[in-house]
Amino acid sequence: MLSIHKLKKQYGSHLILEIDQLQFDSGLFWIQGLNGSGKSTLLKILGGIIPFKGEVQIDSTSLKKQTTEYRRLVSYVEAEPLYPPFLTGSDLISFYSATRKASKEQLNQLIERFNIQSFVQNPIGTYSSGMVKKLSLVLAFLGNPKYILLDEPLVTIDKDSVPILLELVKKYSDEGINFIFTSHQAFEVSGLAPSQELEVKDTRVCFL
Amino acid sequence: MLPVSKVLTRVIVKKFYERNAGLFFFIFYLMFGIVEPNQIFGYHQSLIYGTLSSTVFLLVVMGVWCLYAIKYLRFILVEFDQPQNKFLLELSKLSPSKLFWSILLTVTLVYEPVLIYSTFIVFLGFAAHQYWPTIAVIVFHSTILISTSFLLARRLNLPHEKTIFSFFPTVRWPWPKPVPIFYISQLVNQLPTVLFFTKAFSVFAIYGFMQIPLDHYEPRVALLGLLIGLMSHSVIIFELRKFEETYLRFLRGMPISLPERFLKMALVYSVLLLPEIGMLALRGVHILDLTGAVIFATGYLTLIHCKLFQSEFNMDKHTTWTLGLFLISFILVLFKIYLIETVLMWGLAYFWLKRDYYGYEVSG
Repeated sequence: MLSIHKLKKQYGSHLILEIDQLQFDSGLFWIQGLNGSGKSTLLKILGGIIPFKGEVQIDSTSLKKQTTEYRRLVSYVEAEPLYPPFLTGSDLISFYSATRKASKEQLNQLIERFNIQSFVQNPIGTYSSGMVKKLSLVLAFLGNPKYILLDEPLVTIDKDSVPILLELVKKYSDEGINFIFTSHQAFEVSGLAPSQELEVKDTRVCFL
Repeated sequence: MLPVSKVLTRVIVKKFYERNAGLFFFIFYLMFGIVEPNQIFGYHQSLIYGTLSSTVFLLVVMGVWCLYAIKYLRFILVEFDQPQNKFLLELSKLSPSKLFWSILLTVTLVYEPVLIYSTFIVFLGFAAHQYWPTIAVIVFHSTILISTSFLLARRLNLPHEKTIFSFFPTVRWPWPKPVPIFYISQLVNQLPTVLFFTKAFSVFAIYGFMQIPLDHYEPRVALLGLLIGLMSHSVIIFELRKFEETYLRFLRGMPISLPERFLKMALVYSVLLLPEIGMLALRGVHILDLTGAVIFATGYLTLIHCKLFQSEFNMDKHTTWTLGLFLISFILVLFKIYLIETVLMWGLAYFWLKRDYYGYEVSG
């Protein structure tokens, strides 16, 4: 279970998020909200990318105290990821695989499923935004995280890739991996329980 | 003054002095405020004679001037890239000579504080028949002014060129890249000019210091040369931090422990220091002293990097801090307390990383 306790995030005097208690059990969680409401900020906090006040835990593993162990349990992908343009997709996949201890088999399957073999050896600087997004999704699924955090996963990927992503979400969900995502459209995954909806509004997050 | 120069003066020169008013005030106070008014002339005369009669001090002073040149060069390049200054690209339509002279005038104006003081150095140098060091000062300033004007004119002519010179071929690493290679690749592929000039300056600083004739082996001479070279790395460190904040944000979310992050960062700088290590070894520095120098230098650069894990980091603060660390280190090396400094630098670098790495978020 991913739990949030007395979380507060502000930039200067501008309060972005204030969450007293919130728990994500298991399954799919769809976070909605207007632009600028704090959805991406929340995912960045849960992904260990930005600092905050309060506590976030997965089971008994604290984000602030067990910094490395916690990060092994989550995988986060930005809405518009940026990677060094001179690295190849392959370089990043190798790095992620080694750090997240992904198997060679898993790695090959993901490359094949997202159909990125044709460009993965090229420098990322030559990729379109859709290609970068596909690469970032491959990276998100690598290893054995408990929670995969996807910020606007459907943005910029082509329509052929959407069913592939949904199919992978189902496969990983069946294996016990949980997903928290922000999106302007729902994940309609056949054969999977509908996602639990949350809304970020006026600095608060609540289940709908 | 030509209309073009007027525009450049308003957009670049005025802003440069406004932005650095605090630094200039501080330097002015150091130079003129701590001495009794009736002793100022004698004090500076002694300072200038000391500089001209000692190769070591002349190199130190040139190192400081060089840092100032890097500072204004960096400032102007950043200003050229500002959206509100995009109209300056129109200057590329001028004839090459007109553009060059306009930029040379701009650069001369921002370099003016150094030139004014150097005028006294030249005057006193010739009066004291110190011809060679005086000529060296003139050549040094001419080279700085001409080379930086040339680089800036080229940037205006080729705004989309990532690298001003292609001294290095594109290097492809054939194996999976570990994190330190990300940083090295960034320098080699995106900032080859900065890398080349920094390393060349650093290696020549060591070479210059090691030329000083001594009747016995003295490792501090090597260390002082190395220190001048380390100071010149401030731009590289700043660029690597910017690179981290732009392209390596994902690293923060990766399950990598702080000691591992720290060691990887130190590894980046120890690899960067290979040319300096090579020069020290070639100049006959003993193996123990060489090992000590490598640990000292890596700790020095890692410390500066760790200092930049802050919400707001800017070049001005960074340069001031780098200069401060250099001055402290210079004194500690002179007084042979660099072993203690080495331990302190490593300890402080790790302390800052542990305290700040997960706790800051770059504003804006």
